[in-house]
Amino acid sequence: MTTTARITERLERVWADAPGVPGFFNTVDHKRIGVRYLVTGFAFFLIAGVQALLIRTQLAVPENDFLSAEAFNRLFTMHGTTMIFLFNTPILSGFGNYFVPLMLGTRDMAFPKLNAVSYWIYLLSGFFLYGSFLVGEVPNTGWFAYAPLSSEEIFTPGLGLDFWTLGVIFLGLSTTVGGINFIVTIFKMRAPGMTLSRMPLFVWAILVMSFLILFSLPAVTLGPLLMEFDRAFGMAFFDAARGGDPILYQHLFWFWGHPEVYILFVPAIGMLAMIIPTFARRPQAGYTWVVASLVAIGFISFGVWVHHMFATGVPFLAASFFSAAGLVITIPSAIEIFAWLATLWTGRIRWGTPLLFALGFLSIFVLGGITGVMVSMVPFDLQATDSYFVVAHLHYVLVGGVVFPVFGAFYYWLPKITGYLMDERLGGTSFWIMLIGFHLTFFPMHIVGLLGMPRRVYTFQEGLGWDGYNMVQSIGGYMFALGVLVSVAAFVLSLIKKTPAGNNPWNAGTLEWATTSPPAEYNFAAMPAVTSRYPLWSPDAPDPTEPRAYDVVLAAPGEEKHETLGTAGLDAEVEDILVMPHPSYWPFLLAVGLFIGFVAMLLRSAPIGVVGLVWTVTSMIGWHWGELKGGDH
Amino acid sequence: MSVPVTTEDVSRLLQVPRGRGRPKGWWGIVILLMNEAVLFSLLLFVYFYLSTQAPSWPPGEIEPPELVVSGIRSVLLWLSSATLIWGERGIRKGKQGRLQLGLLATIVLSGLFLAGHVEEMIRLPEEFIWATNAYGSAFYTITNFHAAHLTVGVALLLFALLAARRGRYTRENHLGLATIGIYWHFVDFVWAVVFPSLYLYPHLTAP
Repeated sequence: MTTTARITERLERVWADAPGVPGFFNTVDHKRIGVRYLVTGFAFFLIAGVQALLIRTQLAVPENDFLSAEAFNRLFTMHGTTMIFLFNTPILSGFGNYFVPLMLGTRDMAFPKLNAVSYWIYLLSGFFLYGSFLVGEVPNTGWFAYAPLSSEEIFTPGLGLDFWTLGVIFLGLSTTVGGINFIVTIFKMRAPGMTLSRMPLFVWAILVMSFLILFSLPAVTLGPLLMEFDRAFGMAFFDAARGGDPILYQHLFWFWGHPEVYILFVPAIGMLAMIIPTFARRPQAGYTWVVASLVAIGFISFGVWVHHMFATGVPFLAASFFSAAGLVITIPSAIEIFAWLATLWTGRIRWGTPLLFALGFLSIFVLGGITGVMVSMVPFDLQATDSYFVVAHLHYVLVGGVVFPVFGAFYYWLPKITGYLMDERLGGTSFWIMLIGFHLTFFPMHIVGLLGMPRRVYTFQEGLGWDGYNMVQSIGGYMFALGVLVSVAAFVLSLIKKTPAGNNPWNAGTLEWATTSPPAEYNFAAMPAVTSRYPLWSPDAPDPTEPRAYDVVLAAPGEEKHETLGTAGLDAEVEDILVMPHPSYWPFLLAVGLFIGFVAMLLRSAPIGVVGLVWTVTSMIGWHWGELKGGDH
Repeated sequence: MSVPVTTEDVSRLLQVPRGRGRPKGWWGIVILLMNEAVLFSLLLFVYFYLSTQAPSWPPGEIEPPELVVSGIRSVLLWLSSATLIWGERGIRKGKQGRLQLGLLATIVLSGLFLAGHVEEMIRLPEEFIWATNAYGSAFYTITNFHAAHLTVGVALLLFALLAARRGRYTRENHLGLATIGIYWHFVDFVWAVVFPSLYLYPHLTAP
């Protein structure tokens, strides 16, 4: 038997997941977890999309009674909360989970069990937030849940806001653990030879995103936590009568909230920086500039949060500082845009649906960026705040900056995940319907906003000059939804038609395309080594299927473990052979224990709390039992 | 490195290095603690922000925190970091007994600190509670948040002591212990920031 065949046969035996139900609950494979993130995130996208359509139906005509004021408040709150917390961040984590290890040429994330627990917490926190619909007490104070409206039980009685605060804290655990996992994976598990300056740009983006999560997410844990303390224990953090300050909540919320825009936007940049070079058939122009801009965006994003609070009476000097920072951040964003224009300009463009969505992003995001410059000017902001102008701005940024890149990424990478090509004609159709629907929905919002229509109103009077615009917006909303459905149809059709994609359908240059579609459980039979940024494009690159010294060592006779290479943080020299964990039920059980704990806090029930605590602690001990017993760890 | 080899190429196999560099678990805990550091910084931001909003700090009739008992137990806590280092240095020389003694001393010292915390939590509510005003909310939240971290740390130290008694740590392999150690020193360091902020600062601002 040849060395290659022997290695492959052994890898298949060692890395295979258990079939059926056990494998479903105990898998720690980053690809299965990544797919779960993508499926769950997309399901929440559809749910929040339906909520948006209900909102647009209510606002299609003046003085409509399709929804009550209360139902409207609940829907816009859950639409925003779902889109930001349960769709945007997790779907990017999904792509990161699936593709970062593949792009790095390794076999899993650094902490596969923590990776599994991140997903289960995400799923259960989604159930937790949507449990509010089951008991009929849904959060209704906006996705930011400002104090004191949300922090005083006299203003917002019932469980609605408790669902929101606890759900956000619970989900935060998942995001934090995920961020730590990405950082360690990226620093310790790159393919030999993949120095930082050869790392794919998507990986760079995920790295910057993870650091942003690390430094900003505690704020959105703390704000809702202190709010819950005010609600549950009568604390006074946000109660002005007892020396608290409602504005303090806004500081905490936006200290996370503005970096969050970049937590979403930075990975989207990373996706485009993979798609555009592939379709321009040349390496990314200005690689170093793109990386530097990503890092600069990361830093500056911590200096802009107060521009969400210009209308709260912050001191003039502070407002000026944050206004200036808001303008500065357009510079690195513009560098990214020009780097892509240069890549396209000097490349030999090949058309494809992923590129269409990337170009759709460019057109929409530039408009969102321009209105962003407008609202970062204090005098303009004081006029536009709380009007539909801001709604238009934030949707240009988030739909243009995240949804279009994510759809581009779906068309680009789904063939790798499923192994089947998607229909290009349906993809193009979907793109044009979505693009036109998007502009019809959100462009008129700029105008009605400037005409004075406030956001978060459940209806409006006739004859204010808003009627026609609102009707157009609602039609556009349905059109956008149709475009999304066409993409769903293209996906389903690809699973029926089963046109094989092959390893590298786009002739791309990075390592995720070096393996089979879909990849085997162990990702790569031979651990790839790289000598350039686009290893599949370099004519003198070593054959990635040829085993090297460490492959033979990894497959040496003896105890059969999940093993991969550990490399040094900067120069990616081989440093160690890492032993990775086998499938385990503890991640799932730990997440369930935490879920019980959060239900106990919601119901303020000590007995359930004890169950949750015992369950959680037991799971943690079970997780680490091997270490105490003296097994390998 | 990228030269193809066969199983027979023994001399090449020997070139695959093993066990260099910090293990990934170590990196994981360090990055987690960066995250925790942000959380504590934000809590102190909340505390100082609220203090700037108040006409006097502590507000109303509340006295600034007493310093003698809290000062003594702070010193005990910082001493516990020293005893842990002493124990860890022991295992690096292969001295099992010194490691166990160091762990035990660390647990006892932190137990004394936590006892002082419990005493404070019983004594203070006669003067003010967490619902009295924003000062009370911040004081109780931050001190208990830190105490919760310490309690987790003590549980980890007990785990380490148990493992040490089973001889799990050796001169070469004591990574689990090192990870618990980083956590413990971090929590002690946090107290070195919390103590001046919550206990000394109000004496400066009191009228």
